[in-house]
Amino acid sequence: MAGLNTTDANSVLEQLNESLRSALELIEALKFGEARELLDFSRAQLKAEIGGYSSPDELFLNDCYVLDAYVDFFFSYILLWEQVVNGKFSSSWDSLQNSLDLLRILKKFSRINITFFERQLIELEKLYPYRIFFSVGMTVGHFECSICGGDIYSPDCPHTRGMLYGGKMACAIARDIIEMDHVSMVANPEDKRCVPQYADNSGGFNILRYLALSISSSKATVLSFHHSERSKRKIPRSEFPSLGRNQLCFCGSKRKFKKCCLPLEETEVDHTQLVAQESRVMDAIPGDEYPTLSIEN
Amino acid sequence: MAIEEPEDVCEFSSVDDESAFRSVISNQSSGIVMVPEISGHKKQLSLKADAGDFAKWIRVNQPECKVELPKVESLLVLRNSDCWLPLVYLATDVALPVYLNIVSTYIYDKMKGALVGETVRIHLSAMYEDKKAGIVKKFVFTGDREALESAIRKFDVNEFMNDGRS
Repeated sequence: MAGLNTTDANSVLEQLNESLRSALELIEALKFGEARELLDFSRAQLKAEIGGYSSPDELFLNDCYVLDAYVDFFFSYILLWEQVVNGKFSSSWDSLQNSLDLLRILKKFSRINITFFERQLIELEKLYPYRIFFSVGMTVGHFECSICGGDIYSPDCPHTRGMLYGGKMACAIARDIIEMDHVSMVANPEDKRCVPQYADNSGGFNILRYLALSISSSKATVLSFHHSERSKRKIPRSEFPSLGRNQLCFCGSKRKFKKCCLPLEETEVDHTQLVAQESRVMDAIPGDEYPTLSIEN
Repeated sequence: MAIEEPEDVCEFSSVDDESAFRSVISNQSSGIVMVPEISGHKKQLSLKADAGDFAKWIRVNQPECKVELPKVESLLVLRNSDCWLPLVYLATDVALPVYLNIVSTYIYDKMKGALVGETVRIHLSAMYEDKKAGIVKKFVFTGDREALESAIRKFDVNEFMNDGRS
């Protein structure tokens, strides 16, 4: 199925996908800089291709916006994994959110197959410690349309926020900000970038750190990260002495160990298993099913 | 630490002071009128966050339905992912189920491009006249689109008709 609305844009997309697959091969080899260089070249090629069309119509221009977002997504995807592999977990959160925002644009305006990336990045998001976000409430005078400059909510402005017009997205620019009313802590913010920051070496990033280590030590690859499974696991308490079941308990209760502290010998901890699945670049663009390979944290 | 989602709300009540509704509807024989509400620390009249987008969407996608978006000094902007629809007064030609279906379709369009698992919580309130009882009623709803559609399905159409919409 063609991913875009015009034949011209679809032929550009086909050529672009070839370069993007090569960029993914470089990401798999952790050659992030080279992958970025390839994307720079692809973007220049894309601009030249698009510039070659003499009288672009509205649909083609809107497709060009999507193609641009598609390339932006791969830039963001490269940066995200580069930051993860290099332990820059805090900054990688923003790159992840940028990538997800670009996927939303691709999903809204095209039929480009993003299934692989959508699933993978939603799963990756779950490895971060962020569950509470800040949300700002404010009052503003009016919103200016980024296309025509008028009040976007007046009947005179023909543009709808978030829609494409001649290859540009109509945005509502807040004007006459009257006051910042409040800052709330919410579970579902509009922008997940507003979070209490964790340091890169904090325990909150332990699972992500393990994933980074698995990738940098070649136990897994970027594309192989599939999902995580959370469960509870019982582990022995390190402070417990090794007593026989019928010996007197070490706590001084004068009762047998089995009738006293033995049940407390183990403690329940959160356990996360990272699941990797063998994958090829051709599966990511477009996505496909993979055989299973499991890594335990 | 976790933030608990507030519970879903789906309730009708009669309105004590009908004067504001009646004075607006006496001048507006058809369609939907969006109403500013007191909000924020300064307790000023402002329109809820999604009022502008929603009004524009109705104009474009439901042109047969008249929508009135009053000019106010301030618009309330909330940066969470919920959809905050303004209080609306429904004129006699817009039955509550019709309005709720308009909201449901608006949310469907708004969520185009949403990633797997992403949902939106809708907050809405609507006032309308129950002609049979001769009173003004208010419907308040908070929940996701699935809950809204389930609420629409659950409402017996006859009950709505009996609520004075005819």
